[in-house]
Amino acid sequence: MATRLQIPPAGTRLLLTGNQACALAAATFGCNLGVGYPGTPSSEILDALVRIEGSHRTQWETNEKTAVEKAIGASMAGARVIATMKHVGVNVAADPLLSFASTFNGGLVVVVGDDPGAHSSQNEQDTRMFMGLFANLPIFAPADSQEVYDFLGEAFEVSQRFKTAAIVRMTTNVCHSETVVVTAEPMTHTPGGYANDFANNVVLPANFRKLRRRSLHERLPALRDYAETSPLTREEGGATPEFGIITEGVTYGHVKEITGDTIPILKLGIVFPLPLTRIADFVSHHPKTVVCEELEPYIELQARAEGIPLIGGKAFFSREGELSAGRVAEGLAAAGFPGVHPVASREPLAGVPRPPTLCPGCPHRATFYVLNRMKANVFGDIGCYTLGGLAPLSALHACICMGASIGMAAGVATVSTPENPVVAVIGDSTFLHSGITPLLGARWNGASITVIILDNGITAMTGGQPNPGVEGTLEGTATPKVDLEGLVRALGVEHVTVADAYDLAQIKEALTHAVEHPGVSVVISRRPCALMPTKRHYKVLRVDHAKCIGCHTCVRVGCPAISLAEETTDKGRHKSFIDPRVCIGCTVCQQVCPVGAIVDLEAPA
Amino acid sequence: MTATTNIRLATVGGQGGILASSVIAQTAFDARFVVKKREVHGMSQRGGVVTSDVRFGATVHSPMVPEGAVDILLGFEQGEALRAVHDLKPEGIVIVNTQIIVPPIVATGKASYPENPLEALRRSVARVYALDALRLAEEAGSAKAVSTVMVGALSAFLDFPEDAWLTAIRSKVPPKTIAVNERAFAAGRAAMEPA
Repeated sequence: MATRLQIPPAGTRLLLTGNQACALAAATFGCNLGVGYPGTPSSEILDALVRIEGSHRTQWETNEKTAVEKAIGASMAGARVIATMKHVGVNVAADPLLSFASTFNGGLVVVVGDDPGAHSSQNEQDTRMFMGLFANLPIFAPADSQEVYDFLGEAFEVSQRFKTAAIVRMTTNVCHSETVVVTAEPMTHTPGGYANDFANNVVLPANFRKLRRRSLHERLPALRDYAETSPLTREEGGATPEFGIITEGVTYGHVKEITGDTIPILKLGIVFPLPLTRIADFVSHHPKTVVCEELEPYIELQARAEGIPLIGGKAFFSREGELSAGRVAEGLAAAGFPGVHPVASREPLAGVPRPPTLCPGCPHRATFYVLNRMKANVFGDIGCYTLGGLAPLSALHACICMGASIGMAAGVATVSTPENPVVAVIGDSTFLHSGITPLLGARWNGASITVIILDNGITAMTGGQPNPGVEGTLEGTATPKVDLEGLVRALGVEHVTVADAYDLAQIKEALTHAVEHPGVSVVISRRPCALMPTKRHYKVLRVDHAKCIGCHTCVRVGCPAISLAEETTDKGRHKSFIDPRVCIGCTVCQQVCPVGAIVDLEAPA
Repeated sequence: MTATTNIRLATVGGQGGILASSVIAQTAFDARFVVKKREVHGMSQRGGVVTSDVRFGATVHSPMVPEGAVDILLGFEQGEALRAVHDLKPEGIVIVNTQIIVPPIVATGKASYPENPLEALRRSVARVYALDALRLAEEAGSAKAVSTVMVGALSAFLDFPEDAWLTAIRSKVPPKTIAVNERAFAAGRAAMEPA
């Protein structure tokens, strides 16, 4: 393992992303364990934490639910623990979290990366609604890296003082933005140790009812009192006291860009419980107040339910996507705020569409090429391979959430008999995250489906994290990888084949037999990721223009290395060109070329 | 000049835009400015668009450059410069790499690449500075040094001393590539010298 970074002394000035600040804060404020499952924009927190010197443990778990369950155990043993995940990961972890939320255990902070704008997600989801109003967990809402750092320390304190799990809710532009952090005095925390506590930790109905009562009537009011007076929420004055803005998180920065120091602002640091007395007081002094918040009308609804007379919220600031300084200016101008005008931009000039594509040499490409030719009905999953649905491969027809591919395929095959094969495709990490149980269910109940596990030996989409299908852990401990074939057979699947993901003929043969097999069959399409953990180089290829007939078959494998050359055939069709700087030599284009025009770069002309 | 300097990098995944923005942010940070930098990557490392904002000054609120407030647009590719120009200030500067990266979607006939983006840029913006950063990077020793060539070009328009840039570059690039990157920086900077 490479040299680990020392925790810097108090007062050190650093430029950190929100994710790095979170990791450093965890190590600085005595975190004993960091667990999680990778998901943009939260993945880099544990990637950074494992590189910091200290006695803490850092572990990727198989999914967000198992991560939170491990964190709950650590909390019961008196540890300080963070569990990291993206917003949709909270859905996976919701079962343990919502029941644990009624118990009295501290030290557990769930760090969530929400993705307004769905830059790298299947949806937008507002964790404030889910973990605040629904789970009643205190939520900290940092606006930049310094606040991430400070608020995580405070979240540990609050979690232990009130014996509750706590949430630090970040968003993409907090997680991925680099801003300045000045460090605090490092501290350590020694876990108190585990002791049985039947009444608190066994949520049988009789225990639950008592815990629920205490949590609603003792802990929640105490948290509310805390939030009402916390210095994490602050008021800023302005020259026009008639107006006011209530805001939080990264949106605060956009508001300040537009209003400077002219409009009074109530900037919330804790968004659950909301300091409703403070909000009512602010609005009474600033009668024309709007709530400026991203995604759901979370603050607005609660303020209105309390009878606080706002002049608006979502009427001026959209529920959709990320806010920006420009969108904030538009909303404030529409609300009649003095001195605020919509910002002016130039006329947009046309750019070229640049949809994301599978990388050059991606081992998923050939499998999708075959699926396209088979006209299979393909149920997809979450990962790089979701891109197999885009042209020209166009071989993925449904994608909902992590692990859903197998269940969806089985559902279709249970109630209908499509003319073409029903196929689920799922990556190795996603299969281990939540694909095992639906495969077991499909095998048990019987369904005529073929499941393709795209095994590239890494969690690629989120930046190359290890998973149990890989030898070794995040900390570098040598542990054996899971045997996917053995695992699948143990679930009772009899038809299991493995194909080289670069070999079109092998994939085609494996799939042809698999789809003919009655019941559930599995094909493991295997090759390491072209980029991670290290970039792979095979023999780079070129197009022999003497042989190329301009049929563009190679173009239809959708490789970024392949484009059209200036040179044309007699019939005026452009020949193909392979960019030798981009090609890594996977040979898939070579295998589809009908005239053998794709040759080794070094082959004589 | 406003209190905050706003730089936007419009790049294609794989061009090193994230390294470049990190060098720029580090240089401003070392000069004791308040610095905010943000990136939109997500799925974009798969050949999509990568946009970075670097902002520095006495105070910086949002990590995102507000609409229409870009002082300097660093276009790593002609078409990307064109796409990003709408947020440039009226008096803003465009530094553009003349490289063209045609996405696979064009080869499949589903989209077309804009005609002569550099000309379109020049019609729209008074101050456009073009350089062939790929050629300069290759001459410096590696096509991967495009991003450092672009940083070198940018450096000609900002007040930080040359040494400050080189210190930041050395702290960010792999040790084996320091010499190549130093040459790439110098080439980019020289390309912006008044002709």
